[in-house]
Parts: sequence; structure tokens; C-alpha cells
Amino acid sequence: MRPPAPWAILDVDLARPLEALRAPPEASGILVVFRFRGAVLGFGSLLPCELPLSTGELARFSARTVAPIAADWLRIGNGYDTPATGVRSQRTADVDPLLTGSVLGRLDRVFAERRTRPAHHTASIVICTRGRPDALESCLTSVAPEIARGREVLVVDNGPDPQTEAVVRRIEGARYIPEPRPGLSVARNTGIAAATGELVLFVDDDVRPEPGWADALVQAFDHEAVAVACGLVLPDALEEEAQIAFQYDLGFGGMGLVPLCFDWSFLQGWRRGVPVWEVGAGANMAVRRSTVLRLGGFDERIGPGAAGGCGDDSEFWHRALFNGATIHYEPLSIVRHQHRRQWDDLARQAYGYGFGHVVALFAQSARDGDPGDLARTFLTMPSWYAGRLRRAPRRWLLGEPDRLLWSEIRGYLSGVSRFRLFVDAFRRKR
Amino acid sequence: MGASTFVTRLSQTNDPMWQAEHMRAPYALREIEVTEPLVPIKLASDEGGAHVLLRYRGRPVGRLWLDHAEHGSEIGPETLARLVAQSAAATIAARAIEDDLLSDISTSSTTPKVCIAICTRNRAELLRRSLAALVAMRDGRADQEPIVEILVVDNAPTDDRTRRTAFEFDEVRYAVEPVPGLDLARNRALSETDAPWIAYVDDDAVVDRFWLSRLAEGIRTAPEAGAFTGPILPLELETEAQLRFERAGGFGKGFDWERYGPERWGDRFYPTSAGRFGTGACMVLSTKAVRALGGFDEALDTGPPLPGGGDVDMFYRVVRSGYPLIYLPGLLVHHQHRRDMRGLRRQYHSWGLSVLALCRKNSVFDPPMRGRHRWLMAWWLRDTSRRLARALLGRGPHPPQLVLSEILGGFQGYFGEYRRSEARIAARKREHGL
Repeated sequence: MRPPAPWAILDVDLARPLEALRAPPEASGILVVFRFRGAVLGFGSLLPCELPLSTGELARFSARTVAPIAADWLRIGNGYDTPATGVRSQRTADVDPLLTGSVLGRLDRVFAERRTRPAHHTASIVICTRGRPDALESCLTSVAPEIARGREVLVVDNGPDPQTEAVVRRIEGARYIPEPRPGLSVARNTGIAAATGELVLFVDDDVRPEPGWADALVQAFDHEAVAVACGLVLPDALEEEAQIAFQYDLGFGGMGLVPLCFDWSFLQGWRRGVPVWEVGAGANMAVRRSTVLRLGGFDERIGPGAAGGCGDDSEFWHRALFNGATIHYEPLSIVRHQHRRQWDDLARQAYGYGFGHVVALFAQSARDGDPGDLARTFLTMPSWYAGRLRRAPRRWLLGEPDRLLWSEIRGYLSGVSRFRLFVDAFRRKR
Repeated sequence: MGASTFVTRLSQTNDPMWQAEHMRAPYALREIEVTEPLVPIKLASDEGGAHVLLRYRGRPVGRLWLDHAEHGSEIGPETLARLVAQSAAATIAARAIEDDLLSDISTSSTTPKVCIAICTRNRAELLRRSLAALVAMRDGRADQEPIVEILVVDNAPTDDRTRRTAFEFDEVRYAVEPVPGLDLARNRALSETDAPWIAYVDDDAVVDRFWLSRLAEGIRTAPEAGAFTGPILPLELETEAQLRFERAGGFGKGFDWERYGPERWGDRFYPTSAGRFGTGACMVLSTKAVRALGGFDEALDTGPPLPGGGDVDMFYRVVRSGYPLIYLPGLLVHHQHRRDMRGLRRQYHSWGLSVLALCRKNSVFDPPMRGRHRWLMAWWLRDTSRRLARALLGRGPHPPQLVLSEILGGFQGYFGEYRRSEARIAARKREHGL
């Protein structure tokens, strides 16, 4: 029950005087992103017939939408602490910060304080790309200011072609590194090997980072145990049905709005595998170089290019967590991701998600020894698909068919056929 | 009066709060202003607990149920602070941010006149209490608040007690609607006033002390609205019937601002599940909008056998005609619920009846929405049968009789009650020579 494409994305900045909200022409759905001092405080969805909203009504709508997140931010404390146990954290029971002074004023101070935390570490920015020179160019343009600030930028071309090289050569200070062996994990490892910074900030070629994204990630490494930091990934456009489905049906991660801390306690109590994908999205991720090297790099059997799909990032998070590392989710680091516009691409992606997820589960289960991941593969996922199959006829009748289901199931099945991967890894470990 | 709260009631689960010790009336009614230091809440030994309304600078932000059985006879500030933070932190933040943002916006300071109409019949005692609150509010109004005109509509009176009560107060207007029927009385009020806004307040409801200033703010930010509604909280919780009603959700629709347009994102039933919009015990309507819609449907709210639905029907038509309907949490009234279980059973019966009667009515008069009305009926059938099954197992908020009367009411409503009521009201009008 969501409106058909195209949708418009409207930013409402609460730090600036509000203006009446009008429906953009031709949009059949409007996603309102509430921003304050660069941070995202909430999302609202409106239909064109609900607009225009006068400034007063927009103020009330904004207040209602952003209040839960604002309250969380203020109750996190002085901006240094994060809820201790990730997604299942208990909120602190204190309402006092909300009662004195202006909430937005206090929020402003919290953000300002958070942004002035020390950023000691040197950082290299690695962009892994493959055959998308146009997307890469706009990505590099947004990243370029970081070069001026002394951060090195490496572009790993995972299917070297002259056009991509030309794009990189045009940006002064960016290094071009060809990597002919296919696979995002391979490209990431190449980038890590070539980088000189203590931290490596990974940016996909189809994202556009917002200013301040890099500093926020670097600041998240405030403790020796932090091995990974992930940031917020917003959709750049939701103009095609495929983009909307990618955002809302494939469960693209990295949409949390408060800082989270994933550590050993996050691993406790899951019987069907630890939901590491809740950490964030690999499209906006930073890693500590020394930890990655110590843990053996990204698993080159997994991920887009090599095996297909996804899972290269979440498998590494899993390994890092099981080796005692901490992962921070930092919502002040924001990038905008260009979702694929073609339905065929999306179907391939859905296939890859099913496939990559299973392969990653096999790999991490063999390596980190969590039988829950196997239970997830052989119990949870089939019953989840069965439930969707059962609901499929009804959804089809309602005019909202579950169009990605078949691709996902196919991906799942071919993932299961790689069971050898688990067996081999398990034997090798013994 | 009487709208359906089936949406809120759906959310009730097998909560231990339905066990007998949590249903021991009476409950004390208390208030906490969260910006002030918390003081302990003490319960007398005969009180089963307390219903606490939480306010932030006077604005309602939440409520707490404090059971004697769970918390003992004195609830200290630490417990209260924890409960307040759990239940109301986000709402408090919403009010605070709203204040921040609205203070930067200049809105017109002119506030149009509001006519407050009380439609009543032979309930002089209740009317006196309700009028007293309204008159006090009118006389104490601040400069930027609307001018208030108070109008009592006496519906088919059998004696002059209502009339005498109305004239006990200064400058309270009085009108008679000879044909019995709540919506006839509401339409009479509409024809008696020239104000751009008309507020209907039930005779068994008392407006909150900040009602007028919240309404003024609401009208200032949304002069284009067709209707404003607000929360209804209990005026007393003296009997088990009142307690059960309120604990099952009552008329409550939360403390969050809402704006309802002609369509709603991701809602298959919208706007047929009109019970979510508000309740006739407190509604403010734009007279222009209501007149354009032809006033209230006089075949509803005729008293038994079709005792409800006029308010919900009006909300549905307002929203469908493109006027926004705005739920203002500050537009609070305190309502005296039915005291005895028989009254409560009648209430549930009338809900089932009016939901399904309205479904049938609007399926006919609003063909584009026919599919959604069918969805709602299917949902209603499933929901009530599930609740009946739970009630028979001894779980859930209601004894089986209540759910059963709702189901029976529903069937009566489905099978032509609206048409029968139309015929009855036409005959009734003919009797009065209209």
C-alpha cells in the first residue's frame, strides 16, 4: 500500500525558518527528510493530496516526527556515549534533559560537541568502482574536498578501463589502482594494501557523500577496540519503481538515526544467527587498517563480482565482532546512494542478496563457529520464504505483487548449493 | 455521541492488567505537571489505583495507570520519574520542539468567533456542570483567544429544567429543537449561529482549562481545516463499567498531533475506519464546511435503535470532501462514561451498529470507496470474532456479553438499519408538521 513511482524526496531543515511544503509536480509520493544541523532526525511520508502544508502545520508535523529521535539523542547524554548494546538497547530513564530550555538548542549543542571530538587517525578514502565512470565522477567530485584536507583518495578499478582511468586522472591527487581480479572483496583488499592511512574509508562509486561525512566516521574510532564504523545511507532518488523496491523491499541497511555501539554483548542471545546486517551498509563504512590486516582482510569468496550479491561487508563485521572488536554506527556521517533505476538490475540484486547472504552465513559459521547461522540458513530463511509464498497470491490480488520473491528464492537456492564452501572451510579450520 | 474506537481496541493484547485486581474501582484521578518537581502520589485504601494525566506546560502528553495492587499505597518520585520517562518522553519532546518551531512563525493574530453548542435533553444536572466550565472559560479568555458564544440546544424537552439551567448563566443562548434526534439538534445549532467555527461539546463532558487557547492555536496554524478533534479522558472512574471502558482504550486516541487528508499513506481502510478521527463528545467544525456538506445526517443518532454514528459520519464526509481534519492533543475534554454495565453494553452495541450502518450507508453514497468499506466490514467481522473467542477464554478486556452485543449491533446495522432509521426520522418530522 504505497504510492507508485515517482516519489520526490524533500529535505526540511529545522534549523532554518520553515517554508510551506508544496507538492512537487508529478510526484505521487513524497518522502520528507527532516534535517537539523546536518543530522537526519526523521522521515515523513506524505501523499500529494495532503499538501500544501502551511508553515505552522509543517512545524507540528515536524515536531511529531522528529521527537522520538530528538529525545533519544538528548538522553544519550553529552554526545560521547552510545546505547550500549546496539539494536536491543535499553533507553535511559531520564526525562530531565527534555524539560529545560529549548530542545532544539540543546540538540544543537549535542551535535556541535560530537563534531568537535578529536579525530587523531589518518584516513585514506578508497573508492571501489567497476565500469561506471559517470557515477564515479560525481562521487569523486563530492570526495575531492577531502584531498585538499590532506586525505589520500584511491580509486580501485575492478575491471580496468581507460574511461574510468581518465575520470580519476582529472581529479588532482586521486590515485588510480587497477585491479583486474574481479570481486568487491578483492578490490577492498587491494585498496587496503595500497592505503597508508590508519583508517580506510570505503565509498561505493554510486554514492555521493555529504560534507563532514569523513570526519564523523574518523571520530567514531575514539577507542582502540573500534574496528569498524558505519554511517547513514540515504536514497538519492526514488523516481523509479526499482529504486523504491530497493529501498523498502530489499531491506537496504544503514538507516538508523541514533548512534549505536555493537560489541560482544550484541552477540549474546541469538539462536538463529547474529543479525549483523543491522549494523549498517557497506556503502558507507570505515575500517581500521591494522585490524583488517590482522583478521585476514575481506573474504574474497564472498561479495559482488566474485560470488555475487552481498555479504562481503556483513561477514567481515561478524568476524570482527567475534574477535572482540567493536563496531560503531555513526548517523552524523551521511552519504546518498543512487539506487539502480532498471528493474532487471534490481532483480539481479535480489538474486545476489539471497545468494550472498547464504554464502556469507556459511563462511562466517565455519569461521566463527556459530551454529545459529546454519539454523538461519536451513530453518529461518526457508520459513520466511514460505510465508512470503503463502501471502503472494493475496498480495497479487491486492495489486501489490511480491515481485522480487522469485529472484530471492533462486539466489537462496544457488547459495545453498555452495554448501561445499562451508564444509571446506570447516575442515580447514579443524 | 459515541464513536467507535475499534482501532485502539485492536491493540489490546493479553495484558495482565485485565486481571481482576486491576479492575477494582474506584480509581483516583490525578495530574502531574512534568516540569514541576514530582511529589509522591498517595492512594486511599479503598482506591484501586490512580489514573494520572501527564502535562507538559499544561499540554497533555500522556497518562499513567498506577495500580494499588502493583505499586502500593504510595508511589514515590523515583518510580514516577521512571514511568513518565517511559511513557511520555517522545511526546514531551514533540511539544517542546513544536513550541520552538512555532515561536519563529508569525501567524495571523485575528481569531474568529467560536460558537460552542451543547445539545442536551432532560439532563439538567450534567448540563449545569458542563456549562459552568464553559462559562468560566469564556469569561477568563485571553486577548488572542476567540470570542466565544455559548448555545444550548434543548432537544424535544419534556419540561423546562434545561431552559432554566441555561438561564442560570449570563449570556448563554438557548434554542429548542422540537424533533427528537441528536443530529437534528446539531443542525439546529448550526442554523442558529453565524460564527465561522462551531464546537460541539456533550452535556456529559467538561472542557479542559486550556481548551480554548489550544483551539485558538490550532485555528491559527490551520485555518483551512474542516474539523478539529481531540482526546477524551475520564471525568471519573467510580465504577467497574467506567474503569473497563477506559482501560480498553475508551475514547482515547493518544496525545500526538495528527492531520488527516483525503488519502493516507499505506492505509488500506482509510478513510472508512473513521473512528480514529475523534469523537463527537468534542469536535470543532468549520461551519462553512459543514454547511457545504449539508449538515449532519439526521437519520443517525436518533436514539435507539440507531443511537450513534452522526459524528463519525461527519468526520468521514469532511475528510472525503478534501478538508483536512486535525487531531489536536490539547483539545481535551473530560467525559463522564456510562456508570453501569448495562449502559456500557448499550455503548458497545451502538458501536457495532453504527460502524456497520455507516459502512452500508457510505457504500451507497460514496461508490468509489465501496471496496474499502468491504475491507472494513471483513476486518470488523474478523476482529470481533477474534475478540469474542478471547473473551470466551477469559482473556482480553471485555466479558463476552460486551463483545456479543457489539456483534449483534453490527448485524443489525448491516441489515438495513440505516434505511429503517431514515424512514423513522421522516415519519417523526411529519409528526411535527415539518
